[in-house]
Amino acid sequence: MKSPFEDDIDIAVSTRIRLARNLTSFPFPNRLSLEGCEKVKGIIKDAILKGNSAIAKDFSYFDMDKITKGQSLSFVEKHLISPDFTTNRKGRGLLIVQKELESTLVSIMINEEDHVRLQVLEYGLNFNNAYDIASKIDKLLDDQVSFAFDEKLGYLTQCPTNLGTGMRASVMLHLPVLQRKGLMNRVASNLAKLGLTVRGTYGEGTQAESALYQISNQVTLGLSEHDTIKNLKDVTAQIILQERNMRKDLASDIKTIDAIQRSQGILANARILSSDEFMSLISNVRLGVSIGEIKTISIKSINQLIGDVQPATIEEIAKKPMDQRQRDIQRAEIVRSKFIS
Amino acid sequence: MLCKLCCENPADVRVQTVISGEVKEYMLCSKCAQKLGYSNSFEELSFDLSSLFDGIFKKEKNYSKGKRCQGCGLTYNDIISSGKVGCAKCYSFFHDEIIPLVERIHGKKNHVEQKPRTINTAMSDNDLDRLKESLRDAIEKQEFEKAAVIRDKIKEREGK
Repeated sequence: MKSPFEDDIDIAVSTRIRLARNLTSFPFPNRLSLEGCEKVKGIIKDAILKGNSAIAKDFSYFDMDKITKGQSLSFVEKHLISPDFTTNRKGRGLLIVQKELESTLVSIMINEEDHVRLQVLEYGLNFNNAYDIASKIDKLLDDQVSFAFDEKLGYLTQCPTNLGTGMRASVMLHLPVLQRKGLMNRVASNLAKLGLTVRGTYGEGTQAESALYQISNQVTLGLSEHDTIKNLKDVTAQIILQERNMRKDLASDIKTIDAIQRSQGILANARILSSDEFMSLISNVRLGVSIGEIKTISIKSINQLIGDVQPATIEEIAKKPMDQRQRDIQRAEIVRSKFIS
Repeated sequence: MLCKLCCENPADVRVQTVISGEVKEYMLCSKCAQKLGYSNSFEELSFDLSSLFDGIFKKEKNYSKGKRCQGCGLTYNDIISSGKVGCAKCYSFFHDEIIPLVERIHGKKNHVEQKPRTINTAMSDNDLDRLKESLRDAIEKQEFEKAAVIRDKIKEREGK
């Protein structure tokens, strides 16, 4: 089904709902013995896989210490697990739902910071769907295990910043124009008044700006899941509107069009492409597609491409270890093929 | 400019966070940024959190030295220095110390709405029983103002 927000896919890259839950009868993972970790892993795994739910058959389970470092890094790049989850893999388990051509990714990290870190990631802007799925899985678990909960503090979590709903909802927005006009600081301070946070990843070089911003709720206590999501939705709609209005003015700006076309030219012809260079060029091309300047590639293919050319994923697809130089060459080849076809 | 955290490598990642209305910007090197999770959208504010805890810790004089949680053996000092509690019991064991902190993080101290199934039935019933008992108690002691408040609470609960 097409989501009502699919039209915003040129600005909203992805939507995420994350729930943190802990079992009552075990200490949190930071104070849990390896033996305890194994027990928790078993309980959660069984609750999902043996639970009486249609969703169970979609999950695959991985013991983190039994998969390769490369595979786990590739999971990080696909945003299925946190970087921390790959560093110490002992006693940790992972349940994922990853279907080809589907726009939803589900992952359950077992024994990350909390016993259960359930995450639903949707491409584009789709809070409702992400929350519905998260809520269903939460209920499936809740039917079979006992979650640590306090009437006043809500769901109990290892870090007090997650108390209450244990929910972090976020949306990743591509905001090249707001960024270029230096308006992100103002956006950030406005969001703060609503208990929301904006975080920007500026890439590794100061020049390499991917213009990707993540907006999420800061507060998890004292505000219901529904209200939290409503706040985020309202604010996201506002920001998208601002970015879109400003993009209209850019459609006739020769300097911007020049930057977009040059970026496309490099991506279509380069033989060596570093990750930083790629991110900053693809950001321009993404903008170009959105204002109708580039018609040869879709936003969806761009999103897919960004995932495919991350370092560990390149190696995973090529099925061999590579050094940085080899990866940069491979990256250029993958990108070139997308731009030529 | 050098990385604010390690003060060794050149800073090339700008991290901006807004916590409770306060905008902060840090220049970090890519290594430290990665360590703190800022190169990935999974990050959970570990950097700001520890400084937040630190700030609160310095102001907070009334913390219980040496007392250990019966559930996991952590002291309040351990919690402050790591920013993480050890088990669900820590929250009741260090209740008086943690609650002000929770309030400062969230601006509120009471959870609303969704509850797990187990609590939904068992705990709320307990709660209701407790309220009814204190209502009887208040009436016996002829504390009618207090009784009226409790009566309203019971009505509210039963109406749900």
